[in-house]
Amino acid sequence: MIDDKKTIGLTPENRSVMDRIMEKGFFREQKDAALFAMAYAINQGVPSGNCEGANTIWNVGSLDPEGEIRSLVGNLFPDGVLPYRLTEHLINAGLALIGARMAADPGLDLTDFLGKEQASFTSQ
Amino acid sequence: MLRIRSVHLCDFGPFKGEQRIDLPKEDGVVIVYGENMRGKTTLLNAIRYALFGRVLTRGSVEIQLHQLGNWESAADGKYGFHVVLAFEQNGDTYELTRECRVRSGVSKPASNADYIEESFLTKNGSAMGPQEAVLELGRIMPETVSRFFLFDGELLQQYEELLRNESEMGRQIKEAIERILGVPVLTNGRADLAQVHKQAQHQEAKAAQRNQKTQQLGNLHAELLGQREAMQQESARLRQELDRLRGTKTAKEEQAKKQEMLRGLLTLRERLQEEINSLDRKISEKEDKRKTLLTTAWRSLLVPRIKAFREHIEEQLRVAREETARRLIHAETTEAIRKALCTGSCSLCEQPIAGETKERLQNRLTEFEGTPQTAASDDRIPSLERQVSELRRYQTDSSIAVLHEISGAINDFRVTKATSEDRLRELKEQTAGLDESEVRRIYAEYEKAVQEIVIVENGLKVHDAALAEIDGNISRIESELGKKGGSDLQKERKRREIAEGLRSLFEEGVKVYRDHLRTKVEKDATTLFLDLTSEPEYASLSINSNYGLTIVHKDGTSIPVRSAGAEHVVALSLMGSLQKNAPLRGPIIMDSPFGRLDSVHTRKVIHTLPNMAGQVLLFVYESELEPKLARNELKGALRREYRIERQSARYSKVEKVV
Amino acid sequence: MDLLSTILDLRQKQFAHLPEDLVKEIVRIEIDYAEDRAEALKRVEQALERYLNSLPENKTC
Repeated sequence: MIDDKKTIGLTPENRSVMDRIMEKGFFREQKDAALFAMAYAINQGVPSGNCEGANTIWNVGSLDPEGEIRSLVGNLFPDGVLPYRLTEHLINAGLALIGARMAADPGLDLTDFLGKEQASFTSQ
Repeated sequence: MLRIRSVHLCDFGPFKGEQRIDLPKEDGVVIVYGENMRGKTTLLNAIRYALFGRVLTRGSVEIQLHQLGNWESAADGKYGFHVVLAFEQNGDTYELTRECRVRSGVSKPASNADYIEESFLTKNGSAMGPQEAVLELGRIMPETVSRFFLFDGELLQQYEELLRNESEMGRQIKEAIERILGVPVLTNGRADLAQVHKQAQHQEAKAAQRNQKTQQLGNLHAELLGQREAMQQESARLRQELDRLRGTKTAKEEQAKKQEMLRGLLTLRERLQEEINSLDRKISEKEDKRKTLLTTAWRSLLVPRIKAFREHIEEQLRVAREETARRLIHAETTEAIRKALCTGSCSLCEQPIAGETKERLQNRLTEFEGTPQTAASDDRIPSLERQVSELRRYQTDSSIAVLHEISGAINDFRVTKATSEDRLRELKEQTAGLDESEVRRIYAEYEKAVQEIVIVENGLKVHDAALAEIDGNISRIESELGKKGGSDLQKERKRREIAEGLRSLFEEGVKVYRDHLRTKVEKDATTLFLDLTSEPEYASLSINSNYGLTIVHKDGTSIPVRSAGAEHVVALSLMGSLQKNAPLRGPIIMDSPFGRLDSVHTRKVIHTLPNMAGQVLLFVYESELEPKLARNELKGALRREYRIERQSARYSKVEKVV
Repeated sequence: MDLLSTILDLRQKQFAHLPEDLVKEIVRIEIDYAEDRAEALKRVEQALERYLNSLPENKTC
């Protein structure tokens, strides 16, 4: 049995996106941006998956001290993918989506990512 | 009365070589015609130069002497110039020469330093000494009053200053008017008699001190006089200081007015900068709040999704529970039927089961046993319940709306800030190179002067009250001395009493004469004005304490603002009235006096000129005053005409018109 | 009404005890010596002195 990840990281491309997001000054810390990206990915209907090529940034204990995210991701995606592996995937997917939107429209504001649009829920 | 006989120039301005204008002995008008830039103003300046050694430009700026010589002559290597003014007054004839010649050793002069200036005055053919000449000229035509004889039509705004009570220019002109009207005779007399009275008091005190009977009173008198002297000196010092401060305040006010625009810009700049700083603070606060909210915003983002998911799980749970319940009921019912068939009796009512009922039950059992049951979902229920319970934990108030609001506010602040920054940039460009410290200094000095004025005024009040008390004490002592003093004190007492009386007479005389003069000037100016103006609804002129004149409508109201043309007419009315009322009488010499007047008013002025002064000399251009009009209006009062003819760009010649 | 007549008129109405000739002389001095204040003061003092000396009570035999 494969153990779940103990660290969560970003691909080099998503690292650049993270840097650009932090430059905008919305978030106090990178992990705030990371969790935001994760939530954005979930709302955009990003399916379960795996992320390759991520370089470690956080220890899961610093990102999810109460285990809340693990529990939530596990609940929202009960398809057997390990929660932290899935979290890493969702974070990177979210950053990729945000990065693509920012590249297309550099004047985007934070509020553009707070919209109500969400993928409709389908059974997992 | 002062009367000019001739003006003789040599190489002065455009007037190359020796040239001359002769004026007739009789009263009347002499007109010199000349187009622009031919030298009309130079002729006025020649007279001014002869009398005062100075030449003024249009803006009242003094021209440097080395620029006054004729350029064509200079090109020929001939530098320097002179002016000779011949005039008479009260039966005496004078010839005033003022010349400017190159210092020996200087071949090509370049500045005033390369010239020597000399002047000399003869009276009735005899040369006067330099000091004597200065005093004599000062008596005949003081420079401070020259503006009322040498009238440049371009300098009218000076007369408007008379309407502004506190302007420095207005004060100077008022002093000049009072000078021309002879008021200084009385104010000087008052000052001299005050001095004489003071000395007489001291002399009386000394005489009283010498007499045993009156020694004590004499000592007290002398002491009080000494105290009063000191206090008067202090009063005079305070008054001088007050004048200085008022002058400073007025000067700063005038400077500040000029700088007002700059100050306005600087104030706006400061305000904009404060606004920008405030916006920065607000933006920073909002951004900080937003960052705090964004720490947990991911939860808010997921609230709808979690809710939907939870509801889905809850539905699954409900279905699972129903299924479980149905299976349970099915199993229990099947078991009850089986038991009933087996025991032959109902487990509930314990009645025997037989026949049809047994058959029916058997069929039922077969049916139940044949109905497929869904797979047991009991084991899913705890998991679903756990999921629902966990998902309920994520119920949180969404911060999305607040985040939208904060972001909106930040954007609004940023837009406002950008607008302000843009405006600030513009202002900084506008004010770059301007001396801001100068503006601040002027305002600081103005404020300081205002505060100091209040302090000095209060000090003066206290001082004057103390002086009045001392004066009272002195009067009482003098009265006592009068009773007790013997014949030795009589003369000193008489001296003091006469001096005191004379001082009071002149003091009162100043007030009475000023009032009388203002009334007279107002009346004569009104008469002249009504002759000069074409507006039938103007009733009179009204005079203020500075001799400024306001036009009064026939309904009694004042005309607050007037055109340059009206200003012209009022100024001419004042000049004519001053001529009539002044002990000092002289010619009126005017350069371009009709520039702002229409033909109706020009005609009226021409017609009135001979009444304004005995001798009138006009420098005009033909379209300003047509020769034909002048001749028709003046008739016999027109004594002579001259014309300034162009010889070259730098050479004009005065020709008599035959 | 010129300057001299103004002052003489005032003298007559309010300061009749002051000698008219002396007042006229002082006005004349102030006109003639308007530009020389020191000289004007000196002459005013002298005029007053002359007047006082002309008074019978001050004449010395």
